[in-house]
Amino acid sequence: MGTIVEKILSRKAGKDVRAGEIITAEVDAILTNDAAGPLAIDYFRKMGAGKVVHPERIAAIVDHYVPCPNSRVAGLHQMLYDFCSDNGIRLSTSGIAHQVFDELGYVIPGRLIIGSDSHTTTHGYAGCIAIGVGASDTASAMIDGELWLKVPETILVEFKGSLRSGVYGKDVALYLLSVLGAAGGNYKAIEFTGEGLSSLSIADRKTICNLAAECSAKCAVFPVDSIAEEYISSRGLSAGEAVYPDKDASYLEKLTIDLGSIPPMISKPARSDIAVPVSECAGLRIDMAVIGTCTNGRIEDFMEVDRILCETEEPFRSETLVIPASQAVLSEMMERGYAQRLVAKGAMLLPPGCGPCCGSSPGTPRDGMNVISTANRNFIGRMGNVRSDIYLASPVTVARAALKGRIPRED
Amino acid sequence: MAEYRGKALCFGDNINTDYIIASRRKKDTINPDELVKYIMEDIRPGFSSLIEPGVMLAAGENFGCGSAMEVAAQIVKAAGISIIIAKSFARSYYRNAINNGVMPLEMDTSDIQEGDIISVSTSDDGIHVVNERTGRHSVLPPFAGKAGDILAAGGIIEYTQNRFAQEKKGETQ
Repeated sequence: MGTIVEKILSRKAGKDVRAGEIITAEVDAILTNDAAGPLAIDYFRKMGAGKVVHPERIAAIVDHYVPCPNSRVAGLHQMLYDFCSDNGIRLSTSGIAHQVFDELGYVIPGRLIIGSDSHTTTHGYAGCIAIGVGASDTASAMIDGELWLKVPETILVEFKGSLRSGVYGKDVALYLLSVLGAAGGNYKAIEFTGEGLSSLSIADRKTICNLAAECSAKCAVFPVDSIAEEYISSRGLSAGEAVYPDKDASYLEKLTIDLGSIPPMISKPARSDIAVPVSECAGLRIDMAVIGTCTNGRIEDFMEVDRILCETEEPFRSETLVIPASQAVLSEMMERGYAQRLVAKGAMLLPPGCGPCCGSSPGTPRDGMNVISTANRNFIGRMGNVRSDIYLASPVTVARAALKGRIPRED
Repeated sequence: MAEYRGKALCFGDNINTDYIIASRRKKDTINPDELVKYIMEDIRPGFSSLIEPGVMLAAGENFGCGSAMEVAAQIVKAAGISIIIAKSFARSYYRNAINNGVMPLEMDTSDIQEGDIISVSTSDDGIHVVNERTGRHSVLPPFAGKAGDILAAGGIIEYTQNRFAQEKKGETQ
């Protein structure tokens, strides 16, 4: 009778629960970073708590401000380091929280994961419920090991057909945002299904779940199919706790999307849900290109970018910033020669982390610049300058635009 | 059991947390009292100077969407704003508001115009919202369960402190 979300939350609440109920659920894993972490610690202390209840379930990952830009942030970082050391919490400086949390093995099917970052939704790719919360809720869960939640209703998205060549998870995600709108997933979960899943790679699924945050969804979840099982077991993890929806599960709404009908997509300033086919923006001057972030900074993304770079002798015409999602991604980019090729074409290779995505690390555009980015948000001022415009697209579209200095006419 | 009265300052749909407080500002400090001067600066420069005692925010759909950053709720509180009225809230902002003792009231706000005086009173039978210009009187259900308990305590810090105090009392008895 239950959706994936109802069934996982039933397990975590220790009783059968349905959409609409307010429950207290056991949290399996908690992610925090250097933006929200210090604030969570502040709440933790003000609440009068002593120690965290399950330190082994928590990871704190330094990603927003890397390398540390000033003494003020150094103080915040120190606060995070000290807290982790005092409480036996794992701290990592290896890249973007969502990427590193996954690399460290916290993402296991059937889990309830919370993170003090909205793009925690990314981990739904592995059949997890992964929810972004604030710093105070993070502190609360660190104290109690549980969190109160409203069981969300679920929108079922059925994928039919398969992706056209040159179309990626990012394009699917932007298309879905254009259908659902910025508030379309608010208070709701999204569950994916359908034969089209077989044409979506794990990287595609991570990108789609990441961008679910942009329609305000509480979480987005893929069922654990053979593709996911293979990926999870290849990393030495178990899919044994995977949960599947019941045949008679009740959904708020059902959408069917033909993957074969989706063209390369682009989001126009300053809302990710204003997404149109790339062809509608063809010819637009591009001054800066950004490849990276928790949305599209994975090795699979750089592999596709490299394919485009190998097609031409030309250097980048736009100022191009490349930010691998983690040290592991960067190492692999170097082994495979991707990093060398990007740099040879004039890209600036920045340290693994959030980079300029939300203006927290360097890479601020100048006045009047048109930026094309693989990130997830293009709000006014998002990258630190209100007098620049941000377009969002797949790594391949961004790489093509960076080479031409314009949004390409053909996909 | 509590009364509020003040001027409404109005916003549209999908006001994201980056607009409430730009992420780039958090590089300098995370102290909400220092950040409050930057509230809404990117979409409404000079907004902080309009805030006077009792002010409420009124907005359309999905207020507080985007990042889950809690500073966006903290600075509203730091600005002395206790009530936000919106057609709907992004769920992460809704929780953050409650956890910081700011009441998120979900209702139709289409009749509220900039500068309207709004009065809000809470009681056991519900939350009464009156737009003094139009006379429109809306009654919302009271906050239930833990959300209600957290708001009643003034926020999640106070709520948790109270809980620890109760537990300690229980142990010593």
